[in-house]
Formats: sequence, C-alpha cells, structure tokens
Amino acid sequence: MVENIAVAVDGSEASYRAVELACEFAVKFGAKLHLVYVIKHLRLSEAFLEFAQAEGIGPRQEPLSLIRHPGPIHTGRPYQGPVVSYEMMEKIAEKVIVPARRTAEKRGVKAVRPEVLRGDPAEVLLNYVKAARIDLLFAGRRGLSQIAGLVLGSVSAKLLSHADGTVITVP
Amino acid sequence: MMTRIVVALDGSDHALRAADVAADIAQKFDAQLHLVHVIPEQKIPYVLRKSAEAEHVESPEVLKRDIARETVVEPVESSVAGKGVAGIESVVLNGDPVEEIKNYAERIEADMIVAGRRGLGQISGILLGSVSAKLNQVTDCPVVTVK
Repeated sequence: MVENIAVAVDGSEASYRAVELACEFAVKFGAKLHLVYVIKHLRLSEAFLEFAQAEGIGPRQEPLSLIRHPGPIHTGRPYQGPVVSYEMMEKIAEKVIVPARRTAEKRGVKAVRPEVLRGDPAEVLLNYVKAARIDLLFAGRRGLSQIAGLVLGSVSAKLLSHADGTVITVP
Repeated sequence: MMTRIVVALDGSDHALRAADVAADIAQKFDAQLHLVHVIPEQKIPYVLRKSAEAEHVESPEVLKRDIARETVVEPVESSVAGKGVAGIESVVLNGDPVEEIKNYAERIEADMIVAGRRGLGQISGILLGSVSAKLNQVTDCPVVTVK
C-alpha cells in the first residue's frame, strides 16, 4: 500500500526530474505527495560543543547556515565572502518549492504537502521518512554540488543505505 | 510514461520482495515486467570444460542457467503471477551482474530498474549491497532500491 510519497527537493535539475516522476507515482497510486526541501543547517554535536567550551571557545549564538566559499578553503586567509542568512535561505526554498508544487498540481496530484525543514539534509530526510511514514522516497542522484563527474551525491548515497523504506534515485 | 520495468533477481528474499514491489508498480502503470537473473561469471576450469565436452554434457553455462531458472526465476514468477501484471518476461544471463543488468535494461529501453537493497550472502552489517549501490551510479534510468 503506497499512501505517502516524498521527494527530496533542492533546486537541482535531477531533483526536478525526481519531482516529475514522483508525481506520476502519486497519481497512479493515489498517494499524498510530500515535497521536502531541507535548508542546510550546521548542527554541532554535544561532544563538539563541550570540547569548544573546554577550550574557552564559546559558539556563536546564531550558528551560520550556508557559507559560499569563493575559492579553495585551506588558504589560511580569513573568510571574506558573502554569508547567506536564514532569511535568504527561506526565500530560496520558496523559489524551489513553488514550481514543484505547481508541477504536482498540474499533473493532478490530489494531496500535496510542501515542507521546508532545517538541518543536515540526509538526517532530516531520513527522520522525515520515518515520522511521516513515507512509502517511497524520490531523490535526484546528484544535487547542486560542483564536483565534476559526480554520479551519486552524498545525500542520495546516505538515503540509499539508511532509509526506512524504498528509495528511488533519478539520474 | 513507464512501459518496461526490470527487476534484478539473485535468489534472495530481498530480491523476491523487490519483485513484489516491481510487480505493483508494473500493474499500476500497465507496464511490462522483466525478471532478470545474472549468474556471476566464473571462469570454468579448462579440465571441467573438456570433461563436459567429452561426456557430451551441456556446457556448464547452460546447465547453470537451467538450474538458475528453476531455483531463482520460477519462484518469483509464481509470486507475481496473481498481481495483474500485463506482461512478464524472464531472462537468465551470465556475467557481471551490474554490467549485464545495465546492458539488458538499455537494450530493451527499460524505464526503471528495481533491486533489493541487499542480496544473497550479505552479512548483516552491510547496509547496501554492491550490485544495488552500483546500479544507482551507472545506469541512465531511475533505480528503485527496495529495503
């Protein structure tokens, strides 16, 4: 019985193709379609925070979200590029979710549930699959990573190994 | 538009479950289901091959295929029989499982490949079998990995 289908949406080409395929399945199975966008949010483990505090390094009150590095990371120079705020990330999420939702409605999906969540994408998606009792999880094989020749991104790879259900990767 | 679905079989319960899922999808989409089992290629020792020839016995590959058909494919065919799938084809191949499945899927222009997350002989610590993992990397069509 397929009642709940989820798609991991991140704005990449592959994820839009995943949305299209997920819509077909949602219509054929009469299932609810969950469009899940995860805003990358760096969460540090308790152990890490304890270590920092023991070293006299207090964490910032507002953890940084996504930082776009203009060049190689290990240059030893202090970071000087733009910092993306949560506000911007939420606006970006909207720009991605809205077309996906429109696609779903156009294709006749009866029940569409958009979700914008925060955290480590793989972790959040895996938890969502369990909590929302997702029967089929669709994901693009690669996202917005700039690694050339990447055929299967880290998030999709983790979903394949750990998801509590069936995973469908879309090239 | 899904018209042809390939499901990879290896004799495991995982594959049987994958076939059930594939059959459900095939039924909903009115698609043809292709059951594909690949006997991993093993070099047959020269001596064995020669003695088989001397005894006028079928080549080891053919014998293996017949046994495989009976033990791996037929149980799955029975399992999916009552699910209302329009057309079911089955094939047994020899070679590298990933390569053969990929080539077969390309040849028939399959719209989707379905496989179990783990397979036969997988120690319980392994989360994702190597065939399953690779299919998600080297194929050009969506891959369904059934837990």
